[in-house]
Amino acid sequence: MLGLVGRRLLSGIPLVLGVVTLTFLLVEAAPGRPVDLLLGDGPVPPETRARIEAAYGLDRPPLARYLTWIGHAARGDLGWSLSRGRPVSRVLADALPPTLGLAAGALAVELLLGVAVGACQVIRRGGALDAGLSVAGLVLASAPTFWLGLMAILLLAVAVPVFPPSSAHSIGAAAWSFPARLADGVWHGVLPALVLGVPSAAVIARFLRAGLATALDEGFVLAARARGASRLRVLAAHALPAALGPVITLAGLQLPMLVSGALVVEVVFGWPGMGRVTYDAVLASDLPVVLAAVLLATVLVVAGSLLADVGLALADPRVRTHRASSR
Amino acid sequence: MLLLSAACCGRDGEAPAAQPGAGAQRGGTLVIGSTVDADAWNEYVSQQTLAVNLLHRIYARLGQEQGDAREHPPTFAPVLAESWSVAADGVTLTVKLKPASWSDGTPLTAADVHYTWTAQVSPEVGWTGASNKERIKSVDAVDPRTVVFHFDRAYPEMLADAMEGGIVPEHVFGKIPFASWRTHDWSQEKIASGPFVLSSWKPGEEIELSRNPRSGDTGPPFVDKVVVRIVPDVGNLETQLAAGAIDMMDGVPPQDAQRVAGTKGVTLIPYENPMFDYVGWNGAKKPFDDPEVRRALTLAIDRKAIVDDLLYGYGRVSTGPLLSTWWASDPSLTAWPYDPDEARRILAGKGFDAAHPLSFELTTNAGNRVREAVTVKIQEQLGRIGVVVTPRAYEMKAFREKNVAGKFDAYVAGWRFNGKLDLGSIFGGAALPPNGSNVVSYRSAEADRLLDAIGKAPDWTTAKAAYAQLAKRIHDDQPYTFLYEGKRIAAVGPRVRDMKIDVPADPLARLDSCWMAR
Repeated sequence: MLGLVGRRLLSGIPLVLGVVTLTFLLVEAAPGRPVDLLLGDGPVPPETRARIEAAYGLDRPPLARYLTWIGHAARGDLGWSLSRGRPVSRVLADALPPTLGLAAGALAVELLLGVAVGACQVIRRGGALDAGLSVAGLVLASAPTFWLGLMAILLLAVAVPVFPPSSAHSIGAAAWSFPARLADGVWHGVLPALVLGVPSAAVIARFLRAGLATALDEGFVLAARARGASRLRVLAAHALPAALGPVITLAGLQLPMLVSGALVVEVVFGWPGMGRVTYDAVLASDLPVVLAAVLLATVLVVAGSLLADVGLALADPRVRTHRASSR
Repeated sequence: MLLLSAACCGRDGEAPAAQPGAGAQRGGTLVIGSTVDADAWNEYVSQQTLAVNLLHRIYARLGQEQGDAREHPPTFAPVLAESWSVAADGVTLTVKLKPASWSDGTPLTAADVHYTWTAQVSPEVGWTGASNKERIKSVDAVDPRTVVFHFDRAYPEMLADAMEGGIVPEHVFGKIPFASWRTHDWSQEKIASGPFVLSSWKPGEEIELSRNPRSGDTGPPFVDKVVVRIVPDVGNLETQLAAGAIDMMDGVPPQDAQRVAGTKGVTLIPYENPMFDYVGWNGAKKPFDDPEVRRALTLAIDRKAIVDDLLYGYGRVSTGPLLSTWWASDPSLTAWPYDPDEARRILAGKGFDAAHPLSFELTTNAGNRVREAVTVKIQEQLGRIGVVVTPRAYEMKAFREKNVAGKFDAYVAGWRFNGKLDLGSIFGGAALPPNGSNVVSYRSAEADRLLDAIGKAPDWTTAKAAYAQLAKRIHDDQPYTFLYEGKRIAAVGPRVRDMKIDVPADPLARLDSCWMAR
């Protein structure tokens, strides 16, 4: 297992470098100059434009800027954000915790709800509940996220004001005790986590239902039944591990998406996370932030894929056996 | 729609309220919703309107513009200044400061005013508003409470130029070299001379201003805190305003105004936005180098319909480069009428007909929904006289690059003016790219002469006459088709009292005099 982790980590390094380099080239190839977005809506003298370009090092050749950024990034200095007036590391440090919190909540919703619904559907296979949940899942998985978000706000923050409509904390929460702030953060995170997690839960449920249905017809399940195992035990201890493979792979691959791709949810709920940081940086041609965000997302893709592989190996003995024999 | 808003709000820029200050209550938190965040907490490196407007409440200026620039150059109410006078030579302005201190207790002196001026004109800082200070030769701190501005000549807006920009503390800002100002995190400098001090900033989420403890116990501001909640989705902001989660939002889309105004307890405050949008014609390219062709195209664009259909009445047809709310504008100058028949006749005389139609690409910046809609509207309107228009939206940087390189036929864009209208950098013969913003390649000896005369005018009445002639020249030549002057719409909830928006480009100018009903 350790060998697998080591090999995957090593193979991730060129991938990360390649993606960052490609991102740099793409942003550089875009027409126009970043300084144009730092000049406001009024006429600005050309000498002022030149001075602002020089202040941010934008007057240097692209290769020099790229090599400088790589060199500094290797030492942990991710540069200066043009659009946010702060070091990039602080921009990410502020955006990452809310994003991770939201991702954890969404992942929990996705897995718990997805597995529960999928299992329910299999138990009631072919019945009205199965059909109803399938239709509901299809609707939720295909509904636009912004619409789901606005509906959730209208329903649960305005009509029945159970949750706050936006932001990651209450006004004045900074002065509260840590437990109170934590509870406040969780309270604010419920709606966005639901909106982010429920559509994915519908997909997970669909995969799991199909996997469980297949597994329940397998010989080892029949053998377990023949040994007198209860219905619940057959489902949870025998069929579920066999059906979890695609679900774990799916959840692992969704980790980077949850961290970097929750843009719509972050916009609708005013959630101060990585999606908005990345999106705003792209619009503002804030190259240091774009590169740092891409770097982070790529590392998460590698980590997510690795976690999925490890999870798969832990859940399914056949995978462990196969890997051991292929070594 | 205008009738509705007038009925709701009384005069533009003012919410119906009790007499200003009557029964004003102290305390409370005003929560403002915003779709954008601040970019930097230093006015001289920030380009973000919200940040600059908030910074004006933190770093006070010598005087506050009074929003009375319709008839004459704006007057100023003293803020840090106690009084001012111009010497007999006409070029020396002496400002006497009030006794004041920074929020950390350090006295605010003439040395701070002098230091601020050195920052404003420093090439290393690269303040985009530095042109406001180009006629100030030097600033002398005569004594701790007296500062003297020396101008290179007398002109109408001397006082406005001297007052422009918040005074910054030398004992704090002076520790940062000017060359490092653009890469310094100014949110760490929690000091103020204005009514509020920045108490916390959670980027992307929330800005909190607290009452400056040294702003006095009896005067403004009335509220203890101003919290700006950053929510990028305007629909969510409107929902929060309706639910009472926020007290104020700026930038209600015109198409939403009627619905927002119908929300119980919510009041719209439409106010003048010092901007105009226009179609710029490429004067370096045929047939747009011909003023008659440009005029014909203007005649065929129904600008009133654009204001009514796309701005929902929140705006007015623009007559020329001088904003109608500005003292220099000439009310006798009227917009070209909508006259498609005359346009067709002129274009036929230039050889364009059904067999040989005039066709061109009309570009704008992607993401600006109003301008994108304007290009489509113009396509439809010009199509009625046989002109073939291809609308296209480009990402902002690409849009600007094409324009500066002259690779365009026509484009829809706008100018927003903070303070003075710098027409020389837009229409001057010396302002062709890369030296200026005359991307339409407008060349007129008469316009250059008038711009020069405006620059040398010793008083505002002389300047106004020259401005009128310049506006007429540009009106006749139509390097731009002037489309509309827009209005912005703010909305306040039921708890907010005495919120006035009467200073163009500074909607939060009266923030310290509003108060929250309990």
